[in-house]
Amino acid sequence: MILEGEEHLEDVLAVFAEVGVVDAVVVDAEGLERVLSHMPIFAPLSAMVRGARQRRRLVLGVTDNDAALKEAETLLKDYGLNLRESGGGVLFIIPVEGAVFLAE
Amino acid sequence: MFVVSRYLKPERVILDMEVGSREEAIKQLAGCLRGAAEVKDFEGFVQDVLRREKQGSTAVGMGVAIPHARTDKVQGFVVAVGRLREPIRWPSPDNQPVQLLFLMGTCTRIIARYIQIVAHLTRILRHSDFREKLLKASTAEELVRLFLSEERADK
Repeated sequence: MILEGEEHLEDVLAVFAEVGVVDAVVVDAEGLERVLSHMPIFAPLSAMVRGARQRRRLVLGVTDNDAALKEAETLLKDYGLNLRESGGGVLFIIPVEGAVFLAE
Repeated sequence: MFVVSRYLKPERVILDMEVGSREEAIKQLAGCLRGAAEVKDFEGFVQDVLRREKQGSTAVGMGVAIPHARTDKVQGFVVAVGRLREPIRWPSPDNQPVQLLFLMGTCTRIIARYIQIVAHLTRILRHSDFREKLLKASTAEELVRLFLSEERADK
């Protein structure tokens, strides 16, 4: 999930736990607009994006729950985060074709 | 999704407990799990819960505490619910005294499922009307029915 701002970070992690997403990691992230605005060639853009995008977090986890996406969307509403209306973030699932795990 | 209610039984609910401290509350509530098939070593389980509580308060705010232990003294998962006649002081994020207790135990190998249950419980307890109903339940059976009903309506 790409989460806009920090207000709902704990809620997102709680929801991920509830729908069976394990080993989630949280990564500080910056939107492309903001990155571009730091580059001289795109400096004129800075006025357009200043304050427009808050800090972002990328929350990554793995699940074998096929219904996780729908369930997470529903539960997030219970925390007051309606992704379809608020623009508070993007929730998505990407199939994992393979993985190599570190031995315990 | 019957996450908590599937484990909850009236004989594992104590209403109107009269206690003066966290330790007393945990010990008294744990008493209803003595002899439970899931608890292999009752005294060891209680000690593990108390040890966990000493590491840091398990109160989550809203007048609720979830004392718990992941321990090899428990097989599978077990939960007991306690309601105090009078709230007691219990360090919590919102500084509210605690009146509802959810005592949980799980075996050490269950991690994801345990976190899932705690996350679910914490979320449904955010619903103030549900907490009100739990505080007003007249009997243990009614409290169990309230959980069934809340979880049935949850999704």
